[in-house]
Amino acid sequence: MSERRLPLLLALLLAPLPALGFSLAELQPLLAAVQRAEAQFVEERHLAVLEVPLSSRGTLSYRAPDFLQKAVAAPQPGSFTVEGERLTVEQAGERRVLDLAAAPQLKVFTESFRAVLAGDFDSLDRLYRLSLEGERDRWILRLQPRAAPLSRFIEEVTVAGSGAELQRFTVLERGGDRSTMHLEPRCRDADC
Amino acid sequence: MPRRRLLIPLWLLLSAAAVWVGFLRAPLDTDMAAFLPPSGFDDRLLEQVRSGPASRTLIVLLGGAAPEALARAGDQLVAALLADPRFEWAGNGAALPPDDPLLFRYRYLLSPALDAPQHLQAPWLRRELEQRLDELASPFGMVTKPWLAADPTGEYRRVLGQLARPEGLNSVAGRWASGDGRALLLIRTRAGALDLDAQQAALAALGAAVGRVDHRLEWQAVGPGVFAVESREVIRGETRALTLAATLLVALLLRLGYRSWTPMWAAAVPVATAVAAGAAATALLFGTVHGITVAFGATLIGVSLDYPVHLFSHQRGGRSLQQAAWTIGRTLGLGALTTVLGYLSLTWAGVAGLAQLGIFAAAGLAAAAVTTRLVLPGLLAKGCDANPRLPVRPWQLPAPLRRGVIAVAVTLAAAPLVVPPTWQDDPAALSPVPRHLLALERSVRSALGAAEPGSALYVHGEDAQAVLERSEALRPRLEQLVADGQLAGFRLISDRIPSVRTQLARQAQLPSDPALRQILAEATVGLPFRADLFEPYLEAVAVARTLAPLTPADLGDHPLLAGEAGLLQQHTAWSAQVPLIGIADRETLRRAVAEMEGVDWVDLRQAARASAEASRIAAIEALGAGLMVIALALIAGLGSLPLALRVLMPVGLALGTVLGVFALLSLPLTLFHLITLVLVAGIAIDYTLFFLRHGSTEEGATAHAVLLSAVSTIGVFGILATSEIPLLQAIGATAALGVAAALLLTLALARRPDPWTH
Repeated sequence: MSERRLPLLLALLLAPLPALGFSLAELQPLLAAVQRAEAQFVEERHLAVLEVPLSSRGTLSYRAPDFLQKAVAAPQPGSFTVEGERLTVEQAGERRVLDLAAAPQLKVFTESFRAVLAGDFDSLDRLYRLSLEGERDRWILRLQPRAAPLSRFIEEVTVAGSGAELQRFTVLERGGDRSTMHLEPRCRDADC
Repeated sequence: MPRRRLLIPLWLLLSAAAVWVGFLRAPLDTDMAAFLPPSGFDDRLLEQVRSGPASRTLIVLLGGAAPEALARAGDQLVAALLADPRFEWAGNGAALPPDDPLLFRYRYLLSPALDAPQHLQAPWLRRELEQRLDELASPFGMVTKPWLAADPTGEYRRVLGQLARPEGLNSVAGRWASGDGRALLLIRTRAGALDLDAQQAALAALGAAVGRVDHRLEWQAVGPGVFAVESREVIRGETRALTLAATLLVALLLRLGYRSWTPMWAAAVPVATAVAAGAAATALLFGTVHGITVAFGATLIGVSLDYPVHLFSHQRGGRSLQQAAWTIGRTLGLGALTTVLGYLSLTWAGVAGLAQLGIFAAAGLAAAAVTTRLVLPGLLAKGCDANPRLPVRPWQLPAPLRRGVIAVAVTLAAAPLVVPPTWQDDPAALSPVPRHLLALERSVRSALGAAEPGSALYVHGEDAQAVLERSEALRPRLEQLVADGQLAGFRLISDRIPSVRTQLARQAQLPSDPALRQILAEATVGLPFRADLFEPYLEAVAVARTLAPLTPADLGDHPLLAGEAGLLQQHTAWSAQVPLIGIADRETLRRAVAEMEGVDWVDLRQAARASAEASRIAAIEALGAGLMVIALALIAGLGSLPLALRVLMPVGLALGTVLGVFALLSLPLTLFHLITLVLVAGIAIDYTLFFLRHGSTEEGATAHAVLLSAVSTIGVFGILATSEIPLLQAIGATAALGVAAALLLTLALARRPDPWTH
């Protein structure tokens, strides 16, 4: 990590003064300002139990402060909607409602995702160590779990974006499994 | 005279024996069931309902903090209670622990998925694996992944799903909660609901555990055990209060009435003998004495006072007690007889507890009468320093006043013809459980948002396995009822703990290792699973083929299934409860259940209705029979029908007045009210009788005695009317009102010997 940082640091030192490093405090309001957002996603999962990666695509919708919906188009149509503490799953014509409090693993994961979208760095900071690199137009936010139970199954979460747009969301699990979601923004706020 | 001299030692001996038998030897019984009216329902089944595992379950509500904090407190409390041997099970809906080694190992024997023969074939396995793939692609992937290798068909999840309970509860933070923001726990004690000391200890332990979690928490527990303990406390308190109040009242009355303390000590003799004799008779006949009987028995203090009062009031002008006794002896005897018959009528109502009350009082009063007549004069050879003086003589009351009383009484007695009295059909009113507890239970149930319980099937068998097998056989029939729309749902214990027979059948279905490898190879064609991924699965199935089946006995300590294993209970036979949800048509269900062998349906609502109906009939029958017997005894005793009618008239009018008052005030009547009317008749005849026999010759004495006895009787029954126990309240109110009416009417109708013409 420090090896990667070093050239960046040197570049920053050598670069003209105005190009100062982009900070968390600057990113936070950018993300928090977004009230609604929709994006197409392509998700790839590399799992140790499988020989080939799994891939799916669909649409991701967000509404501040805690509404998140993942509408899957392929390979199997369905949707996963989180609203507050409730997770509604629609799959194969069946509809199930779950209380997230009863499924701590799911809860923590959806919570992390939501917090990033909402720019809720306070909540994130409680669960993860945050570090930001890059500039306003190209930044990478790294989240490292502070403690169990998160640290037991997540190694690192990486979010890449530009300005207030999220472009890539990667979860690296303990044990080597990796899941990457590429996002192509469709609309934001008034356009949606 | 030698025979008289034997009387006192004999009395002492008998009294001592009575005290020993009644109070020192006989155990005190506090099972409220003795006072439930006849239900016309199968008592064996009601017994099951009352002593089954449901009777050991308590609902605990936690309050005093924010809902999330309460949920966390609930978790801690559950952990503490599970560690306490007094509790068999405790739960608050917490998410089932992800790994329960026992259930995981036994998943292939416990899961119903393997019952169908097409399962564990390649096509089915393939469908399951495809579903797992979908899950891996979804947010659930993280949850499914750890189990994939060992349990690709998700049997463990199925088994856990069966254990989730109960339906229809709210939840906060994944824990059960009541509708009003309190955390909810269900706990089951090891001790039966009738083991009151153990129940009390369990409740104390619960309170201590709550305090240790957080001393600011407020808690409430409801359930059969709580009711039983509370009822016992109430009875104890009531007995103490009643006895004290009655004694004070009586002492005061005697002092006022005789302006001397001696009659009080003297009156204590027959009164104490009465209580001892009553307790002894009850103990001898029933083997135990019920707490409510003792509470009711305190009224004897006031009623048995009648006899010494008559004796003292008639002793004056240099006359000895012996002479007074001789004068009033026959009247006293007849009056005592009718009163005793009045109390004995309580035994005809078909309620075991009431029979005890009747025997207690009848024996007591008989003893009081005998003691007053035979023992007191001998004991107080020097006479009793009684100095009765009547403030006013009743026949000197102005005629308009007396006519007015009669007119009011007649009007009230006629009222039931115009405004028919209402009957009390609410079983809660007939229940001996104190009112505030029933109200609490109702509020808790509405806080739960749960439907009324009380509809369940009971499956019987010779042993636990027989019950489980029969329960399994029941499943298709119940599923049919659900399909037909007759039922919304049901919970079978065999779904969670299959019979040994079923487990062995499932075991036999598990393919051998080579066969399973073949099936797996076929199923995974084209699927991206890693080649050797499912080795743990093959291993687990191989182990499952050798496991010894699980029995309820094995699960006694298991945190999740101990509660289920406890659903089977053994009294004379084994049985399990099958709760039913959403019954569409009771008649159809009854017919369906009648066809099922070894299965009974206990419909408590029906039982309650039948109970109210049966008790109404019993009440009217007992009332009629009781009054008939008393009238006949009176006729026989007086030897003249017209005289008997003269005695019965004010009494009859008084009874009518009571009914009229109840009808006009729209106070519902129950079995207990009507029975008490017979009691009132028995007591009130005393007054009219004395006026009839001695009204002319001993006006002042009679009036004094009657007034004093009536006031003491009305007083003690009035105190009883303030009881928290609906049963005692009914008796007290009716008796106080009835005796008061009888007294007023007797005074109003009392004249110098001057026969009315009709």
